[in-house]
Amino acid sequence: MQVSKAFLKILKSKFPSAVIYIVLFFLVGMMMTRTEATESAWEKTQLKLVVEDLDDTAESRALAEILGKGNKVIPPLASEDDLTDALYYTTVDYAVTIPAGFAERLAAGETDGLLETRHIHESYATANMKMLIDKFVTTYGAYMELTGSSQKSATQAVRTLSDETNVVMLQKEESTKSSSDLLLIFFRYMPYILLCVILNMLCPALIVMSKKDIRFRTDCSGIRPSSYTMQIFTSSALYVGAIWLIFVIAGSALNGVMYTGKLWLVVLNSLVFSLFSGVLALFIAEFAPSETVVNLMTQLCALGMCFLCGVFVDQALLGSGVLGVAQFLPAYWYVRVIRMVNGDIPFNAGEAALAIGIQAGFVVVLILLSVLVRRAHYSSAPRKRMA
Amino acid sequence: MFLHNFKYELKMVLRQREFIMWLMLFPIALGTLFKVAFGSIYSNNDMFKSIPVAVVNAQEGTVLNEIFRSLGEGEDAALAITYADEEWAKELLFDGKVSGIIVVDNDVSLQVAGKGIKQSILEEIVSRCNMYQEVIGQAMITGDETELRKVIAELGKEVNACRDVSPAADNPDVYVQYFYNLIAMVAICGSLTGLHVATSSQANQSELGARKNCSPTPKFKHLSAAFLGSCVAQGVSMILCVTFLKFVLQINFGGNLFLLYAAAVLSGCLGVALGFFGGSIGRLKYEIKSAILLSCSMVMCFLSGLMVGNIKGFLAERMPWVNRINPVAIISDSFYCLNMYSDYRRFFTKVLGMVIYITAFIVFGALFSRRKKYASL
Amino acid sequence: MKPTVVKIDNLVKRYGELVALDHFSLEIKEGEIFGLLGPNGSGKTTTINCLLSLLSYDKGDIEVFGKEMTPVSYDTKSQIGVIMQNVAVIDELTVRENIDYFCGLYVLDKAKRKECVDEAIKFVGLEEFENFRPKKLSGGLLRRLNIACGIAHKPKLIILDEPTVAVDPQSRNRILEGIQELNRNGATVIYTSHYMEEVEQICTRIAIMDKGRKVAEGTKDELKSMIRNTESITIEILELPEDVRAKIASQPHVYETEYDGNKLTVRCSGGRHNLIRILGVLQEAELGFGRVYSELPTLNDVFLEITGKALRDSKE
Repeated sequence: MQVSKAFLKILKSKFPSAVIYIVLFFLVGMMMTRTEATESAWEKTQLKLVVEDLDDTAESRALAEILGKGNKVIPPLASEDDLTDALYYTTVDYAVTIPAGFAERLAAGETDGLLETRHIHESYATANMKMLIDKFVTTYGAYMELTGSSQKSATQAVRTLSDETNVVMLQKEESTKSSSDLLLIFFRYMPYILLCVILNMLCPALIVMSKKDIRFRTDCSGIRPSSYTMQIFTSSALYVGAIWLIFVIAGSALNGVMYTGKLWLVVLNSLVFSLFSGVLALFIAEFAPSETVVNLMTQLCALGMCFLCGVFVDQALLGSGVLGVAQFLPAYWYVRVIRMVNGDIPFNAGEAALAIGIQAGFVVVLILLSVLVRRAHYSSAPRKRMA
Repeated sequence: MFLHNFKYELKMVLRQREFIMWLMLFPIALGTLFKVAFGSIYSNNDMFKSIPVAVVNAQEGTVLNEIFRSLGEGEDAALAITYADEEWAKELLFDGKVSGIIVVDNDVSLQVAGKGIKQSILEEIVSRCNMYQEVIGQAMITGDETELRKVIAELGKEVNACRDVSPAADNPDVYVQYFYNLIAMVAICGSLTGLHVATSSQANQSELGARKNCSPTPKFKHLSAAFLGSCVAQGVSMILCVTFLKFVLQINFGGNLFLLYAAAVLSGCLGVALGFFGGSIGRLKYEIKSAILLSCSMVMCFLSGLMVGNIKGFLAERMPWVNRINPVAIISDSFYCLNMYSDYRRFFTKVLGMVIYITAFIVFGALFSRRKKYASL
Repeated sequence: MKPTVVKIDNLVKRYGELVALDHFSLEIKEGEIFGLLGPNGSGKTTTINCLLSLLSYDKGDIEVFGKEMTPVSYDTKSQIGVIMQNVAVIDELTVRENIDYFCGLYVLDKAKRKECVDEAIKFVGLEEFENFRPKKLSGGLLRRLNIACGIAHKPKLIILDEPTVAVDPQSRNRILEGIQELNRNGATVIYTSHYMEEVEQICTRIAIMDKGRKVAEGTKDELKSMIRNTESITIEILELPEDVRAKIASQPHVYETEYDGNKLTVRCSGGRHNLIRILGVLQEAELGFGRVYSELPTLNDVFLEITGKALRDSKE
């Protein structure tokens, strides 16, 4: 067990570099899960609006009231630049300025360009707001024809537009929505952190053990190669298992959810992906790269896989071409299971098992490749130096 | 002697395999990945397109039918309407082929299977239909046919109440900020080069440092030549990165191209300066320092939105000071300002921020490095 | 009287509780090859680092070429060449580029520098490997490159800190010959090592260090004359009765005998024909013996007698 002991000691010495990633992930996990909401009864999408009323008449106040129904009205921002930034990053969806003279122009029927509006994106939110504003103006105009009084028209418009619309939320017979959405969000982002932590720690440790001089010294000893390899594999598996367990326990603790029913599938899914990360580390280590190259490979694999496979950007938003390529990466299948359990796509036990099986397949393939590369390295003569 | 040192420092940096990989190949690979992943997300998902909807029980010749027809007509139609019976409509809804079902009865109602902006727009449209019914109903009560016609005409009038005074962004695509952050990441990864500058000049950090300290060349000359050489090398990699993104991947950064390159090169210097500062403090081994620098760089990149795009907006609301002090956020903001603002006031504010950081890192790094003798080597 | 090149006076250096240099003093004259000999941890490298103003020290004065040595003594530094204990070369540059770079820190004139670099490459015998990168060189060649980087600018004072560690015999001989040639060309050399054979071979004057102190100083003959031992006789013998041993011990000039079961070591102080007398005793006792050899005292014996321990572990 000497090899195991030494290997685990080396792993321990590499731990500090992984701590930052782990701490970051937990912080982000706590932050992100607080911003997500769970589905329940119908609720209109709340847009964030900046409404500036420079007219301050009954009519402008009526419009402001309508705009505020079901939306979040934010007070005007400190500067135009701040507003531009907020519109770009969609912390504000739309900005409306009701200029002075609004009521007079409205009463006179001069509706073109009545309000100053600001937006960056020609998005659904923008279209929604345009429709709402035009609806108010149209309703007011109609009541003006009926009543002839501007204030009465405005009041009537507010009353009419405040009527609740009958919206029914239909659900399929079998609800596929999990009650633990926050936990699933936590698991959704796990591939990045698993890859970073495992690759960053396991690779350098494996490289140390595979250094030429150390390898030669080990080969000269009485230990069998199979025993040596087994000890390395076991220690690696132990480490990967420990990391995985930390995250699984943390996920449950941070979100206050116990694992039941389909969530165990998610746990199994994460275990298989952790194994994949461990085997990927083994594979990369066979090429004995320097520490900097390991860092590079870690970021490339982690970021690349996570962007392509729907970890950072939802699979529903990615193009079919991208998803076609992503299917050749295990993270795609990992995310697919998460989406199934989350109810984003119809749940099918067989498909979920297949997705996990495909990830396991990647594990097996990488192990075989690692063995092949190792054999190729060990069978070649060491590079000769000038004497 | 300065030129001699500069020449060799440049050679050293450009021949380092890690430099080539991290600062030249990595951004190309990641940039291509981003292009593939995000290339058409904005236009396909974020920009408004006709919302697919099923309409049930619509009757020909009614006002409501006219409304639906007008909403579903033309290139910029708000709706893509499928007229269906109840069963088929539900099938379309659960298959995700329509976002909602508008049911025409005494009242107009909406059936949805989820919550979202598309469903909210459909609710808006349904509310409009109900408003029409309400107003027309009230007009009919008066018994005045002329008034009724006027009301109907008023309801049918095209309204354009919004006068758009939005800032003219060259490229409003919100996903382009991933590319800003990619350039910023390449810049901040130049800290590894800066780290090498620091450690190779300190006797207690490397053998090379000890040898240099024994030479008659003042440390200031060593350091400045090495720093400048690294900045030049880093500047080259920044130019390559921007060129690849702009001209090969055809990313629209907007703004002034010269200023874009200038900001990129300056940000590269910031990365080198950060590494120099980090390498000058403490006695940790080179490997540990580089791991710390790299980890901190990734944290800063994350907080700037490299991985989760809307985090900057999230921080701007709750902790705006983070965006103001995060060097990566400052770098990516400079590119953002070039795109969003036609005057360069904010851009130069960001540039000033970078210059302040560079100066501070160099000054403090030099202060820590200038110790002539060491307690131990 | 030759001028003093290096003067170290009462140097004290502490690392926390540990006293690395304990009131250490030294004076090196121009033209000497001065050897600093001592076991691992005796303070040789610390002395060199203090001398070069790389390390701070708690007490004492250091002068080089008559001037106080400080980190900003650039004029003085331009006349010093340093060969560090660990190889300090740049992996990304070729052999020639490395030497050119370090020479360039001392010699500004390009033409002169080229000449110096060519000579340095020839001097260390790396002509065939000019365009090789350090990673492609063996340990011995790497050490030669390390030396070339330190002497290319033709310094007046050359400091070599254990330059032959892990070096093949061919390279080692070359290095030692090279040092002697540099000395013949006018350089003063400070050579630190824990290999007494090297120090005995090339050094004109030697200081022996132990635990941060100078325990002895002088030429090798002066050092050897400090000790009692003038001859060590070793005889392989399987059986040695006590009375025979006692008889040997009572022989003239014999001051110590040691028997470990199969080897008898007899130490003599002065006298002639000691070997013949001792063999005569064994013959008289009709005792058979194997190999016999007689050695003159080495620096190791000097160190052993002064400190009570060997310069290097017996395993070395």
